[in-house]
Amino acid sequence: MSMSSAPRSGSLAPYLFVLPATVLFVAYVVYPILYVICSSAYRWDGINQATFTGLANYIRLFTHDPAFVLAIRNAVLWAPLTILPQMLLGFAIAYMLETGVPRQAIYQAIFYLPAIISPVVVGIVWQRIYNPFGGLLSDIGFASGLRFLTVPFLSDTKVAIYAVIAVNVWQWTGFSMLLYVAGLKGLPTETLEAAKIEGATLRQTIVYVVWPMLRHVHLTLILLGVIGTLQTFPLIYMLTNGGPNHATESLPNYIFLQAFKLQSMGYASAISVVLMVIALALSLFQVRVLGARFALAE
Amino acid sequence: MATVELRRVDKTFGTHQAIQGLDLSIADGEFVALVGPSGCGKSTTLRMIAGLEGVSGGAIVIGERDVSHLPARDRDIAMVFQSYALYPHMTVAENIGFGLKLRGTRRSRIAELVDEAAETLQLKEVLGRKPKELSGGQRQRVAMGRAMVRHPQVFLFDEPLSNLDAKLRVHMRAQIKKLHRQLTTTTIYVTHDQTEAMTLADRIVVMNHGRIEQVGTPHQLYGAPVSKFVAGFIGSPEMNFLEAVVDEAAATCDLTFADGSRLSLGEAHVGLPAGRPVTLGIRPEHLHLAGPGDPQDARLSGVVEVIEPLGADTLIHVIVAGRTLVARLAAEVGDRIALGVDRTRAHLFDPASGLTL
Amino acid sequence: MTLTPSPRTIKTAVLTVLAAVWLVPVLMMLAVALMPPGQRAAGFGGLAIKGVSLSSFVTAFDRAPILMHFVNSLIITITSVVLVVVISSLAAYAFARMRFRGGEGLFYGLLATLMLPIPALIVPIFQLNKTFGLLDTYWGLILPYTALGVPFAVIIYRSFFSAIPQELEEAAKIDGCSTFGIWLRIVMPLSWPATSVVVIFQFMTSFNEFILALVTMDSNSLKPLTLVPLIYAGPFMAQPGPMFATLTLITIPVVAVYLLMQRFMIGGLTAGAVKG
Ligand SMILES: Nc1ncnc2c1ncn2[C@@H]1O[C@H](COP(=O)(O)OP(=O)(O)OP(=O)(O)O)[C@@H](O)[C@H]1O
Ligand SMILES: [Mg+2]
Repeated sequence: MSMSSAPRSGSLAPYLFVLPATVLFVAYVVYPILYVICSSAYRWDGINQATFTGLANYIRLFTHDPAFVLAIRNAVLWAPLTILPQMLLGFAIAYMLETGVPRQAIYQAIFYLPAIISPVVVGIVWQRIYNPFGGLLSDIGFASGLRFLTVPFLSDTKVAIYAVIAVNVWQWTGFSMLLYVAGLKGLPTETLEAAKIEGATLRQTIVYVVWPMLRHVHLTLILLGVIGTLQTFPLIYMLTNGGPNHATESLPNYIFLQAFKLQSMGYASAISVVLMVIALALSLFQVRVLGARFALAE
Repeated sequence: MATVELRRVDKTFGTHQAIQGLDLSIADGEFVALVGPSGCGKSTTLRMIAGLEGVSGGAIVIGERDVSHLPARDRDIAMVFQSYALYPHMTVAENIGFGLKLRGTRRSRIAELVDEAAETLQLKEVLGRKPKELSGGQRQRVAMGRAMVRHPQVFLFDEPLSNLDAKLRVHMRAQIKKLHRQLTTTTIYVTHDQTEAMTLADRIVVMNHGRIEQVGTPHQLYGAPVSKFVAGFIGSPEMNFLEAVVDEAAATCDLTFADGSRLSLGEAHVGLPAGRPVTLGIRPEHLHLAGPGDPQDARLSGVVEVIEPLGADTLIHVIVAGRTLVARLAAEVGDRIALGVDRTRAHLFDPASGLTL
Repeated sequence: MTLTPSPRTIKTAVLTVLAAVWLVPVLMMLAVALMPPGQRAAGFGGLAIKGVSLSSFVTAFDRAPILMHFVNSLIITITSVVLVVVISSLAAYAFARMRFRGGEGLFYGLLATLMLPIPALIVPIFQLNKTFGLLDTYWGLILPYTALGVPFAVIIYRSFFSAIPQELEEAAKIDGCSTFGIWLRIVMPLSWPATSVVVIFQFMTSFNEFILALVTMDSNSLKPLTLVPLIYAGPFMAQPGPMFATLTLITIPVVAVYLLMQRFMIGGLTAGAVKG
């Protein structure tokens, strides 16, 4: 049903309504995309005259850049290791909350709290937690004898990426919880009661009824999680800045490094293009093939 | 107040023609009901008059003005929706006064008019409440108040009572009738409920498949339907229909049914060629238990299959000529009875076109 | 939901333990910020403080113009929140209720923006700001924050608007509203749950952002609050107290906004909250 066929004062209305959004969209999305595509074909420091180099930036990226390889590896690790725990924990918390506990709103606020804190704050606070000299974990480690807690989490090339992932899980589980709470609220009570009457146990109810009925929430969370993986930047920038020795490098952080620290705008643009292509391909696959949606409820 | 005229109005949705060449003239102050089966285009017609849908062809004239291409707000009409469509974020008073406010009416004047409407509709106590704090009947009255308060030229109602329970519906029906007598505003009223249409309307428009089937007073539609469709639509319980063949057409009209039984309609329908197939239509209230006064050839006999006691009277289902006839009679299940037919009230239709013969 | 799978007490206990763990970093931040001066050696990362003092906050306000940075943050954040609410609800209304040439394409374009990693656009946005002389101005942050916030807000608003019974808008039309009037007087007042979601998300995004701010803002006097720990890193780093006091100050506004609007969040996310 649309009101389009109704007589109206001017059929200009829809265009006026979308005009401001369109202007911003063109200026800050369309133009930048075209811009990076063009500038990825140049060698350019952002100040002096740029030199056209064709595909040279891409060739260098794919053949001579170990940092790029590490960034890709980290994304491959990052996606499942953040998305799965965030979903499972988020669901568990949401389910416990929604099936009735006192003071639900307080728990909800506590779990969601990390998601609203600035990455600047999160980064600095967790640096202190991970600090091997007087940090929270090492203090606990020494006090309890659990020596593995005393390792230098953020400066050990083998451990650092997992330490950063843990912070991400802490930060975003509350968001998953929120979507699951909304999803659970939307489930028809009758269906759950029917399952109960048919004699389903709690485990069976969750596995066969509740979890499958929240399919759209799972898909949304996976979609957002994959995109989130590819945009992970402020947290890494604050916690490790991609170090040690690119062990926690992410593509966005690497773009920033190349563009603003090493003044290689052209090379940074090439990485940007690759990043966008990967993100669009993965997202479109999920939307088209798996039926994932951004709509949080519809 | 004004006349409303639809001139050869068409409406297509994509490739679907919802309304075809609708012609209708409504007099000033008249109460017209639109009835017809679901999907026949009643709401679409009303919405075109309101200006919520554009016309695909033809013209709509209110008063002397061609309003076909005017936006809703310039047509000086008011509408009551089936769902009432009250603004949930406004109080009853604000709901009723909203249209006036948009038209720049003075605040004190709005208060006066809202008060007046609330008085008429017995809404004074709830003026400060939000719609969700009202009962169904109160919401319905607020919707009416919102329409009344602007004193528009035309009232449009789209099934305004269908969300109320049966008792309230009867009560509100009477209220609407009273209001119309007071205000005498031209009213177009869409309904599913033919009792509503019969009791409220000066004239009823029966629609089918986007066309007008018949326009007439309730009396005309009941007594002289132009087609089997109208005959079946008006009246409750529905008219009985029996397929038959004319077998003797000289002095009287005699019918033979599929099982060989016969019925003579006397002089009422003479002139049909023998052998012509027809559909006989006879209303339940025009069947009675045959008595000595009923000629032998004006009777139908059958076995009572079901009885439906309604309190004041009883409906019975009788199997006649392999079909079920409903009659307004008392009998026992299993009785073999003879039904006397009120021959002057019998209708004949062409089986192919459905038109009255 | 009427399932009562396990006794309430077990659930409450599990949730309480989990919530306590989740709160540790925040509690530690507060503890360090409230640590009395000279108490360097508080154990457990500073969690186990003895006594409470506001002196770190005093030092922070002394050493950095915190209020000025806070005002900068507010100007940038509030402007972008207002712009996002207005711009995206207007667009979403057109997408939800009107059919027009190019409408669908534009909508899917906005949708695709959500699939775009924003850091990939940081180079051109920086250059764009440079070209238009927006470097080192509030607008150099407000405009990109708004532009990048609009797509998500459009989705939220559109699904919410679609759930509003159309007859309400038709009634308003007959009452005399223009299309703009319907948006302003009927649709927006009914959509406050969606607006709360948009406000919370946009407030957090704009207020917390610091990467674009880092490259856009040159003058200290224009920098938002989030940059304070980075600008004054030198003098602060030596002293965890004032640093964590500053972090606490950065966190308070978003938490306040969240707590104010939290109860509308779920409703906004589930949409369809409007019934006649
Ligand atoms: N906006 C629309 N787009 C496409 N088709 C429509 C639209 N509105 C109505 N129709 C179609 O037009 C026909 C008439 O619909 P309308 O709503 O007028 O029926 P109605 O007589 O009011 O039925 P009901 O008694 O069920 O309310 C139907 O076939 C319907 O499917
Ligand atoms: Mg209808």
